[in-house]
Amino acid sequence: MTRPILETEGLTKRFGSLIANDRLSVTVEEDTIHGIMGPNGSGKSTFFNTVTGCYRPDGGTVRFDGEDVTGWKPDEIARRGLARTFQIPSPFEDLTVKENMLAVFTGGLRSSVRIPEEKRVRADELLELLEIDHVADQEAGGISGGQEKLLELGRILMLEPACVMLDEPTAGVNPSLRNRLLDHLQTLNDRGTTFVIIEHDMRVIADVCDRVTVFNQGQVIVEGDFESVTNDERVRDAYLGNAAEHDASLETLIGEGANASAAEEAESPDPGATPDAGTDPGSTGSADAVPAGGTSEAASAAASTASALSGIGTESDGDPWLVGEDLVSGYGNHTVVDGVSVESRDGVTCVFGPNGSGKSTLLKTLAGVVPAWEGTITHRGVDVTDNRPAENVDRGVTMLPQDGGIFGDLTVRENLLLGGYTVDDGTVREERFDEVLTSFPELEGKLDERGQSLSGGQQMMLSYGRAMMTGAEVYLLDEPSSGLAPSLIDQVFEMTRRLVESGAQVILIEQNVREALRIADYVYILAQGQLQFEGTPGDLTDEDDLVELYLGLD
Amino acid sequence: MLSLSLPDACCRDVGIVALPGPPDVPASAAEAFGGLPSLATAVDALGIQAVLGISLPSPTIFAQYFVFAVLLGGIYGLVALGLTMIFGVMDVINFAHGALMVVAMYTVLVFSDATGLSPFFAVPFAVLLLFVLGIIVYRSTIAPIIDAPQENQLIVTFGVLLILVSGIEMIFGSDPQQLGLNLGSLEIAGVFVPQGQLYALGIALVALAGTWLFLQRTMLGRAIRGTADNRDGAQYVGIDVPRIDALTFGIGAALAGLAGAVIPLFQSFTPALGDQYLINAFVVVVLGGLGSFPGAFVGGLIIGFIQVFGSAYLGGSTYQIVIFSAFILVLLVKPEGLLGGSTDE
Repeated sequence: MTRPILETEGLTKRFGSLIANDRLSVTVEEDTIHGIMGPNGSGKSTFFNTVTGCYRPDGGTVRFDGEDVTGWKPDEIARRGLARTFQIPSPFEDLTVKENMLAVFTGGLRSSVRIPEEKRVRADELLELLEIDHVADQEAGGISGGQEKLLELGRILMLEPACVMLDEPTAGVNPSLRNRLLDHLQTLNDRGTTFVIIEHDMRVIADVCDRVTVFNQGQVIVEGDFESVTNDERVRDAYLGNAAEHDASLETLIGEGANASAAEEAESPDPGATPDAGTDPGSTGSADAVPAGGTSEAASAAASTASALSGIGTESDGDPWLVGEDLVSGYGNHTVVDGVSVESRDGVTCVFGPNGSGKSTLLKTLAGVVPAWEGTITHRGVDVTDNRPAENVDRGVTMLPQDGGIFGDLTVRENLLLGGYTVDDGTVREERFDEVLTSFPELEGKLDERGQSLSGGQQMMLSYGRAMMTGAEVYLLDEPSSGLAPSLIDQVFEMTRRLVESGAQVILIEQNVREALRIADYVYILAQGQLQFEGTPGDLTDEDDLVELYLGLD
Repeated sequence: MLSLSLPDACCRDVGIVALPGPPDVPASAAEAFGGLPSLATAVDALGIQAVLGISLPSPTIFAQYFVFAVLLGGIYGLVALGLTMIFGVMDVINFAHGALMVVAMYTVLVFSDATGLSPFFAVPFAVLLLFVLGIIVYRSTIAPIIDAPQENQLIVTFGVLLILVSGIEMIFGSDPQQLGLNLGSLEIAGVFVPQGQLYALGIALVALAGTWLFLQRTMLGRAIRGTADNRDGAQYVGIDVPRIDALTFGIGAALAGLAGAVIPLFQSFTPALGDQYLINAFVVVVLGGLGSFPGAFVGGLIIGFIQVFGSAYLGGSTYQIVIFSAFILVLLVKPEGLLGGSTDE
């Protein structure tokens, strides 16, 4: 029972200077379900690719079932009994579901031309087991996203593998189908198949995994059962980010944020959310919230920014300007945002959630980049659900995409000028241009350089500056600090704060929860495309609750 | 069809020059060049020099080839300009580009016949008409599938090509047409410069400068370059990307129209001529770098030089092999093209 079936030792994979897998040693016991978790970019998928032969390792060994399979070709490894699925299922769309199953090349080149009877029988059994036999004769291009996932699993099982590696098997799968999928996993596990799964949905990990390995930045940070792993401080650091002041307790950090939000008018929270302890729904606070920790330096900077944004004539009135109700959206046949209602409020509204929880898609839906399948979006009472992003920018709703979205081949000056594309009045554009430069003096000397020649921090300034050129009153910021050095994260929050002080409402997505709580006035937590929590940071005093909410444990 | 591929013939085989029509007319690319009866005399003179035993080119002959190469390269550059612009901004390979040129050629013909005015007046009219036609083509065929895989758009533009070319064949037939202009040549120090092509090159340069200024100096031009650079990023600053696409396709078609409208100034044309130019234009665009404006001209000149000098010294259609060898070499060594990698220079 405790025989290791898959062992890696010192497994290393580099891409140029990036070490995606840094001496990973992982042991998977036979007949277990082994979970692999870790934040975005921690090297999970690379690990799968290196183990299954899709990448050649730069160091270390992979042993499978007592045999060294390091450097084997993917098909050899698959037939040896170590099979895998990919994050995005890719069935042969023009073949039927059953043909997809039969197309699996079980015997390598020795597979005969005729399909043997036992293969057909096995395909039928698996389709029945996975409960997709009713679509067996449909073309695989037409089945649902969840059925695709099941088919993907079924195809892999045709190889009769001893061990199956699943890359996010439940991503984009609705809850009932997810439960079915997990049942199947357990049934198959009982019959002797070992599973290794990458999973962002912590409920899945908690429900089915016997052991969990947590990756961060290409290394194993901890291994153990689910309970001990989630209580490990290093895991929390990996997921919630390292707070700048490591000794400061979360309560202190939240306390700062709560001071700011205390002055906020609070909408009565969703009744389904945890009880709103921090604020009195009846109190209408001062509209101009001064965020905690706002230094005088920030205030003076804000004064200059405020006039840059004067074009819209924003005036805080305590109302949410941008309101999304019961939004459903996604890509293809995958629902990513599943019935979420959010509002922009005075100050900074933060959206937290693990990777893949639908945060970016939610913001893109609000901005009009991703169409809303259901639900409505209103801006200042006007229905903007079907607006294109350009129309929304014109109305004063601007989104900053995660990569900044700057024009790399255009000069800094042109980037900024294009930010004012929707501004018809040339003098207003020039005024704003000057004021953006006052806010970001670092850009002034670089005006004729190309966007892509700037450093990461400068590019981020440029994307902020460009967004400010639109003169928006609602900013949707998608992880502006991602990919930046920790020292620059403060600057990002500083700039975000400036937007608020100029009278804009900001919705901010941030991975570094602990840091972001310092400037948050209101918090939404998403997991698996659904709202897990909304309220003021003051309601989030218990970090255990936060961890559970954040990881989507309910 | 007089005196096709003259440079090809003049040093290699004087006998062929003397004939009114070379029997072994080289492939389509060479046909694109020449067609002016007046040139025959010019090159005849060169041919005679060749007969006199000059095996290495005299400076005059060399200068003559050089002029031909620049003129031909300029036309190729102009043809490639619209193609590279549409690709740079929209990532659409526009197979209908040659057909749009053909529409412009016949527009010039009809306009001149109907008004009796000089064909030069027909050029702006053709450009305007093609701009409108381009927007109609974009809105009706490409816009609905702009998010589909690239090959879908490619096939749709191929369909547009078939419709336009067949339509013109139905109306005008497939016989060669010409404007009956006889613009003659300038002679500068023994070097003949055919005027038709000279005007065409001048127009090409003006078009390049005009498009360049539009893209660099106007807000709309910047928006086009921004969209070319980062389609996603563009929508976040309020650029209406579908509208920019329509505009770009319109301008690209107008540039095709310009190229098509100047070709009748120095050459007879058929509905199939557009395709012949298009093949070379693809090579030009890839050589110069997809989406690069100066690249289109550099690529055009390279092809022009290879074609003129290659047909002069290598005989037959060997220069075609050289063109495509250069093409493959560039793809191997610098797959993004000589000036590729950016769209705004």
